[in-house]
Amino acid sequence: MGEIIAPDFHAGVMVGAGPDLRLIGARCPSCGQTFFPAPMRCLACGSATLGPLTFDRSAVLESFTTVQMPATSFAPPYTVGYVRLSEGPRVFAPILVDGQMLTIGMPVTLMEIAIGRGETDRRRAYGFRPLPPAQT
Amino acid sequence: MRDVAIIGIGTSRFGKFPDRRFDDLGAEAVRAALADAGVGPRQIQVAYGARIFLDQITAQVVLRDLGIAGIEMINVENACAGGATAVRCLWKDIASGFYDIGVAFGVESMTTSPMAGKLLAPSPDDIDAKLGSNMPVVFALIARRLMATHGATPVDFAQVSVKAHQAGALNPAAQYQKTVSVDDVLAARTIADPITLLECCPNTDGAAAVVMCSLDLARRLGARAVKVRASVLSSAGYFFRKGDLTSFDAGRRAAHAAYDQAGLGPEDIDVVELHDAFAPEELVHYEDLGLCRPGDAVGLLRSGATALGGRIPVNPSGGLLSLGHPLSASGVRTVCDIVQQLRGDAGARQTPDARIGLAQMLGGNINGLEMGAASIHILERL
Repeated sequence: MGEIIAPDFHAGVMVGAGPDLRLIGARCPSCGQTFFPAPMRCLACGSATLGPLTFDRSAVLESFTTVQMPATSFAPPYTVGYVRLSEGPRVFAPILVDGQMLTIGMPVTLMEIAIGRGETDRRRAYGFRPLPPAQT
Repeated sequence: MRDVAIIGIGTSRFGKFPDRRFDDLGAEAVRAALADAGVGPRQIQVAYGARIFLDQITAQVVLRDLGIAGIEMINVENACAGGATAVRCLWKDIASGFYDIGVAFGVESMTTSPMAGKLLAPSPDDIDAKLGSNMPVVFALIARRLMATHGATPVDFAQVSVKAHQAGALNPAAQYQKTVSVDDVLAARTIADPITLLECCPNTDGAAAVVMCSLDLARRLGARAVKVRASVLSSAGYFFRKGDLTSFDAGRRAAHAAYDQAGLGPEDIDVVELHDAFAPEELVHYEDLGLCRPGDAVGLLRSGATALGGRIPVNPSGGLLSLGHPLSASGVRTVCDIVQQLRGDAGARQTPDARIGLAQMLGGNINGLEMGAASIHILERL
């Protein structure tokens, strides 16, 4: 994959790049609730301080749809879904499909993508893709 | 708190009227509601106007040429629940004794809004919106879960639209007065799979209004009054607390509060109008409203109980799918349609001997919350 040189689509939700990309959020040191994106304080117990949390790249696909109408940063068809991160949060994200059949419950992994309407409007974002079948 | 009644209902034509101004649509609805109530403009003490797109002092502008000015007017926005919010606020004013009589309306000109012909998306700054979320996407993701957890099929979703259009075909006020078949719905182009074009509500211009007063005043006026048994508005909780996608916590919470306030249960409801902006979501609301047990929504639909002539007709107006969905008007329009049912005025769409009806509306889509707002009104024939 070519290097993506573009501003992040949204501040404060990603760290690293390419294969080292991670989502960042928060975990409450008091009650353990995890959040993505990180809120200002714990929305579960009200604790004023939250610890940073770097999420694992792996997640599970909860639902998905392929959209046939244009959106601000996407030309149709594009696929999006909800994934459940290993640490808990349910995240809305683009799902990158390369001929695979998507199924609810399948493991997916984080990847860096570019979104936007062309060369002059290009931002770095995150998506998820199905994990290849386990190597034997 | 005192008892409150609805004594007048009115709607504009629903459809695509890009040449009609919003105030013209709004005035058509309010004028009809005043005439229905037998009340003059100078009797109105307070007014609530709901609208999303796009400028200011909607109530003042709509009511100006009807001869209503100088009273307290409040303009509200609450996504698709804006109209229901206006009704709820008027109910609070009258129940609490601040005012004796007022009007609540909602109006939207979708064809002249910035959303015309687009998929309704959250705020452009919303992280999910930037990644491609919009209303049909949200409900498509729910639909796919319903297929996995409830055994729902694309034919079931199509059947919701078929049912809506059967009712709409009998409703002279509906935007689409024609029936569609399951095959028509499934053959329509896909918007966000499994949702097809005929499973999405259209862009609609329109308005709806109610005149509400204290039950005592309604009796003195000799009006055709319908009593408000419950008026509830709830905002959404945090998305991180949400269980499966196939239920709205705020929808369940509003339903519990409404049944509690009315001293009634779902088994007492004779007819329902609800938010069916996308066909699959109707199944979610069946369960959240307690019309069936959790997990049984598909069975309730397939039984025909929610169709015209069934045990508990849902959206005998044609719903948002067929009647149309002028966003802020819909939460008032559902109340108007329940009043019409309880008065026995619904013609070919009449639920026999309807005594108790429920009008639900919800709206909103933003990261971090499970939705925006949910409102329920339960009304009773006197």
